Amino acid sequence: MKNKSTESAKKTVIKMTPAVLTALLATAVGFLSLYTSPVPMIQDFGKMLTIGMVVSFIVGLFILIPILFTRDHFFTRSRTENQKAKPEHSKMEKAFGMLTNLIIKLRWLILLIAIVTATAGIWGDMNTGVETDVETFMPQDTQELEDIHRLRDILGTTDQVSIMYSTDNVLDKETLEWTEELTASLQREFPSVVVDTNSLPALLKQANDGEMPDQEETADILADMPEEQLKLFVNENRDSAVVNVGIKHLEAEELQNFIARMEAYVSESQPEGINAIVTGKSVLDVEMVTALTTGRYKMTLLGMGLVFIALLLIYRHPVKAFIPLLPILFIVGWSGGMMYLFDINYTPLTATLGALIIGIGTEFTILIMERFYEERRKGSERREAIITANQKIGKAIFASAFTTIGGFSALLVSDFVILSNFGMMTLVNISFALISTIIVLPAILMFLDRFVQTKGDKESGSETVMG
Amino acid sequence: MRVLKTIANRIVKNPIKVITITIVAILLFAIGAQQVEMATGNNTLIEEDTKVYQNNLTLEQEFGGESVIVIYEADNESKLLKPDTLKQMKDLESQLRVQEGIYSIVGPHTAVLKISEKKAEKYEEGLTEMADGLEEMGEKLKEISTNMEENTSSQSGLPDFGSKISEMEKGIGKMVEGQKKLEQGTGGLVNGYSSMGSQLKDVALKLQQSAAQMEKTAAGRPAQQKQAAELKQVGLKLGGMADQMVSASEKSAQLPNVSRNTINGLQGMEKGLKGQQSQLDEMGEKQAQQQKDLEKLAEGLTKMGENLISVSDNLSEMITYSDSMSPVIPEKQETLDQMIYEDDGSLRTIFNDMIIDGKYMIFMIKFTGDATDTNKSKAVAFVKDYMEKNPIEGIDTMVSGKPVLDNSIRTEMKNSMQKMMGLSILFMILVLGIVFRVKWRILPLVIILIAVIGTVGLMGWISVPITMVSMAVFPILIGLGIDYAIQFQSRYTEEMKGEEQ
Repeated sequence: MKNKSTESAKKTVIKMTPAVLTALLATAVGFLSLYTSPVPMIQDFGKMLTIGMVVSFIVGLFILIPILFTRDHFFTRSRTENQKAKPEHSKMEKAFGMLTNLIIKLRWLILLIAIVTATAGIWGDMNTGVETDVETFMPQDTQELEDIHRLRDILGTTDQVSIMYSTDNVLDKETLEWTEELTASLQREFPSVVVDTNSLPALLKQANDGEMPDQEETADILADMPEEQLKLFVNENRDSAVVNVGIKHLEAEELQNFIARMEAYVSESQPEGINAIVTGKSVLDVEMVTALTTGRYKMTLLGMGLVFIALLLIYRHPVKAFIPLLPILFIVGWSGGMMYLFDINYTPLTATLGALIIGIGTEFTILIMERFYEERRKGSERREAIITANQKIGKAIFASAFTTIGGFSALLVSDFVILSNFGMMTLVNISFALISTIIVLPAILMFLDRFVQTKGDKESGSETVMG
Repeated sequence: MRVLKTIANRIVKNPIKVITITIVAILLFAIGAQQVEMATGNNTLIEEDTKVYQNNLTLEQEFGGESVIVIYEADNESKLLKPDTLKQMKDLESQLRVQEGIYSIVGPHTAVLKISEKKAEKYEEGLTEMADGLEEMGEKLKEISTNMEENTSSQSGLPDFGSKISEMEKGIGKMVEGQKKLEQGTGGLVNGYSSMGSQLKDVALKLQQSAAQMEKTAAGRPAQQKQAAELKQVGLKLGGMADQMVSASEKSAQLPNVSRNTINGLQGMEKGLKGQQSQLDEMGEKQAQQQKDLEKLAEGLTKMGENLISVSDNLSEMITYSDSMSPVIPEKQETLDQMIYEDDGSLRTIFNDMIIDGKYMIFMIKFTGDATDTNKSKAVAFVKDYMEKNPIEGIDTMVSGKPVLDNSIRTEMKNSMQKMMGLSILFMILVLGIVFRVKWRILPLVIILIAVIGTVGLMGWISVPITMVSMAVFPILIGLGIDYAIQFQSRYTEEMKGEEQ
């Protein structure tokens, strides 16, 4: 027993570490694309995942294995455990064998269906909206949410865009006149969006019976105005001031449109010597939406590109490096299709799904493919190798995927719509990863292997690197 | 490969040591967990070096960031704009001032205080004028009495009262002006005004005494009797004014009608003095030699003059040192109404943005651009707590705004996260129990929890914040991380089994 446990521990470390490390590498490379997101919280998400993966690996290697070893080496005497698990495993393996046989028979159909559905999915995905309204993320029955809706009813607006302008003296006649004109014109110009406006000239007029005061009166009025109120509109140096524009609560896209139009309008009307910019929280939000919508594909493609490069460096064969990515492309397409079908909008969370798919998917596909080529190197025929790979690795992937699903399914019960949607999409994606790995990948291998094999025979020596 | 072998040998040779070292390392990581920040700010949405971010930053630095809005709701305006409500706002504001991250606090009370401040300035002007007037009167009275004395001793003709009395009139005129300003202004001159009133009362009594004396002296001489009666009248009027001043301050609000009465009193006194002047002129012709009486009268007048000067001194001192000039929310609805409504009964325009539909009143707290989430949460919690503890009858209040919503999201998110973590672990125990058929099948879960602790700690060390997005990562972290543990354990178990076969 003591020797056995020593041997087992050693073998586990030596044989499993490279495999798990490769998976870690592929996952990390997939997550790397998250760092390129222009949205910092997505970058932080990527960093956290990477740290988590690395720490999990270290803890697994340096705590789990020693604990198991210690248990068996020092404490376990009997060795009767686990025997009964045997027949069940073979039953499962048999099922996998039959399934794989079926897959091989129907491989053209499977490939066709996969390609068609994935393409349709990607098309659907292009039409999927983006949701960045925080109010839709949270539990909808929250008191605070009801309150802010009420507040919106009372005030007419809770959203604001600010036009900040700076010049030598915001109180001089020309600037005040320009500001007055601008403030007044906004509601005319954007009647469907602008609810109300507030600015320094408006305050001045208000205090002067609706007339624009002259320079002297202006100074008097400002002196009489509460400081607390004044500093909301003009700074202490009197060289910068702000026009607050209350707007309707808009969908991201409409808001984006409006801000673009407003920016054009303001820059067009601004005279020389005055520098006006459109800013505020809403502009920031729009910027994030743009980053999310445009960054999403870039992130996914970049992630796949990075994985491809990493695999190319390891395998030194373009087709072989491409094989694990093809099922992932399918998952991305299907996942987008699901979002479209179930009308789930992209949120800051679901926008990261592409990277997650790559992270999870490559682990599965690489394991199967590795095993497939291991069998091929042993001299097995293509069909035989596929069946063995699916049998041996399939069941491991099954266990692994189900545990992951177990962990993710907790997200489903979250009160936060954003979290439960994300939870559902990750569940869907892991299921797709399973399907794609176990059903589609064998078909792909049957089809693409011929390109690898011709070369693979010659280079078989260099392929053992990954053991 | 050699590295792997070394690792394998180490683990086999000294498993306990390896575990201990790793756990110590994890614990070291874990210390960093204290530094992990929850970030929900703008810099989680967009890169800090972009123009959009910088613009917004400038905006928030110059003009403040997000605002919390407290809505006061009632059936009608008159229920909202009450001294009590405004006082509550003022109190809430002063309590919030000590909190961090507050840029500006604006509400109807701000406007009322500003109006009150302006009125206080006017009030001060008025008081100063009154003080001047009193002083002048006092001086003149003293001069009259000196003249009288001189006259008595020299026994020559009649003293020239005429010019003095007209100057006294000027003094009174000034006081009338002052009172008019007092009517417009509303300072919090409670005690000062009261003491001034009582002093003036004193002077008035003295004046009445002098008049009585005069009456005595003038016995049998109708002209002088008449004059004495006039002086008595003046004294009575002055006394009446003093009473009103006292009562005004007792009522503690500077009600305009009281001031109005005072003005009437003073104007009456002015008239009285005018009459007296003519009487005195008349008296000059019939000037007798009642020197003793006149001396006595002069004495009385001197004293009166001194008293008036001292009243004036007191008043000046009060203006200089009293803090009662600071603006206050008026105590009386009447005074408040006078401040917030125009003469035609409409609400002054300064309140336009603060009162909506005559049903809602807005109190706004604007945070500084760099206020942290903690600052905001604290302020929001404070305001909510304050509104709950200090309800006003007939008025519903609501605390809302973006920071309130964000605060609630943060709290809910934390709760949700805890619940999810628990569920996630429970589900995995179930799945592992069914799917992972090895000895100690829950071990990977324990291992992954250690890894989570290490991860959070490490995030603290290298300052990666927890954001809205990474909150959701915890179950994912567990889900993905557990893969490795399962792989290791499954392989080890397989190896153990393989040896047996």
